[in-house]
Amino acid sequence: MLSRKEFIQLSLEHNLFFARIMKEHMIFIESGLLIIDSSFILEGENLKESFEDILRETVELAKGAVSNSVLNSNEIVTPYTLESERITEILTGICIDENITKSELELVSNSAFIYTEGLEEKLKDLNERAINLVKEVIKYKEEILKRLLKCNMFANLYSLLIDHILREARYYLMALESIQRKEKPIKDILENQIFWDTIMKEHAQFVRGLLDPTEVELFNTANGFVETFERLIDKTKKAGPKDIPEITRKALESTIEIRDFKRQGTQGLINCQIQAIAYPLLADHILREANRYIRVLNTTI
Amino acid sequence: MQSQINFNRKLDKEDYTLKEKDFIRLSLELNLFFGRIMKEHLIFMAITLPIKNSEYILEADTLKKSFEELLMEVLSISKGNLSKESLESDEFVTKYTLDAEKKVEKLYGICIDKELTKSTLELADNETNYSYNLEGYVYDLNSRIINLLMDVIKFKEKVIDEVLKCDLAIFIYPEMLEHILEEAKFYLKLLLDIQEKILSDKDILKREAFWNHIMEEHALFTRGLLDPSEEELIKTAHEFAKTFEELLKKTKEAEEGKACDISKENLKATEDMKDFNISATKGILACEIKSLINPLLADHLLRESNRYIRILKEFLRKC
Repeated sequence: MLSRKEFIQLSLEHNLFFARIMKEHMIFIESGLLIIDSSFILEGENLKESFEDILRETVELAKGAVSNSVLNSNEIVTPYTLESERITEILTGICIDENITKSELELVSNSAFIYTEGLEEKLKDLNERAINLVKEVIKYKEEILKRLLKCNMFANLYSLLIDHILREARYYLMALESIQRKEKPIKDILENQIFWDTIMKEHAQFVRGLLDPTEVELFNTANGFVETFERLIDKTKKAGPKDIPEITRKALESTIEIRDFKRQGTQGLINCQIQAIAYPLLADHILREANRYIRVLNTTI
Repeated sequence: MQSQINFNRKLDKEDYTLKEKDFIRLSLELNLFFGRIMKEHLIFMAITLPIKNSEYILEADTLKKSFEELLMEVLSISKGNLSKESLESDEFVTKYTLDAEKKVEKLYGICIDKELTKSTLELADNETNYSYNLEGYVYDLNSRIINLLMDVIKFKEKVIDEVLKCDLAIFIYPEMLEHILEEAKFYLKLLLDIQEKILSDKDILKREAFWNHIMEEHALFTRGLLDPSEEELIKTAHEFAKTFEELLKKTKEAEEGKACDISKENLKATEDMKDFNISATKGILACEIKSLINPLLADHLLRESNRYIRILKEFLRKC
């Protein structure tokens, strides 16, 4: 059973992190779809705007209430997010509300914050609306994935990427539903790690494929990460409760490494020093996911 | 004295006729192959440019249409004027081309002139179309293609320049943009040589180096554009890239005397590559392979392998 403070903080953290992730998924989908599928582009755009609304509201409620460990983890925004958004907006023509990012950058933690019943009620309501919206997004992503896999639609997006972001949406939904029931969202530590290790592995696969073939060094590094996380996933699947400390340490070590790689990638794309068919916002996006996973792993340790 | 002059004239005339026939045949074959390659490059660019850059999409589409018109003209005089080898090589169209075009037109919303493809498929029906003054017509047609090609080169250069400055995001690897620009320049050079009546395939090793490089890059693009879940195919593509990288090095370093041996090796690798291209094209058309490679791109790569194989075989006949 979550305390009021825990409920409030978990609600805020999840929505701050995932509502942004969701809205960015919509940006990536929109930029990868073809003009012939303009109805899907418009639907993606509407969903993106709805998530921006949720995010804006969350940021307002989060002022002072979120822990320092979350704010310092760079999982909500990074020092590169704003610049990534600007470049991505110029290149794709997709509107990205930079005011949200700016107010996120100004978030602070207040140790004297009072967690009121009124705030709890507001978040219950917000979570409910987020749940409904995520359900819509899940349907939308499922529809696109189905069409891609049946070759009824083509997009400049790997189908594994759609599958990947669909799993993230489902994860967000499950977490929110747990929180609404006043339960901790993570039930099984190792299962949770397998989920996020797979996410990390797939990030490495996407990077490997999206890099220009001339980026041989980066290609090899990305390929190395694919193998590292594959091994880790195998090990974690075989592990029992007593192996948790060791497995977690390994996961942390690999995730810190891939985080550094992603940071380098984000900087390289922003400065136009890396050749790839990816936007800086995608790099910053996967950087934030690594940052969050690192925080979760540190909490376990 | 009188008879000697006549004798010389006769020789000149025969010599000239032969050249004229070759000029016509080589021009038509070159244009049938590369004209289609060029129009497809423009299709690939049009479907990977962001909607925001609609003026570029329109430019690509207009250039594509111009190529289709010129290709139609080439086709109209091609019957009976092509070599058996070129017709049998599947370098102009394959049995997958039409299906690939239909699929791309439907899914990508880009118009593709399928009559061109149907007429190309019918080229093999032998019927001589050799008419007087065809040479002049072909010369003029080549000139018009050269002009269009120069526009295409300018367009590709403009896009690459903006991509490298990160002012434009197109969903084509920068290396692939350079690759299609190189092919356009290669085509231009061959056309200019033909117009000057120069046979440009004298230095076979240089040509093979060019094509090995093209094959290596095809493997690299395929490797990256396959869905990451297609692990086996990604590995195979990676191996092909390595094979052609090595062959490229070998071909560049080889002395002329070794040309026959090298060409045999290149032929073996390219035939393997062709088989890989065929299974990729079939798999993508049948929706059994997950990738960002559209069916027409898969078929396009296959045709390039087919052409390279013909060039290699033609040379190897002299070995």
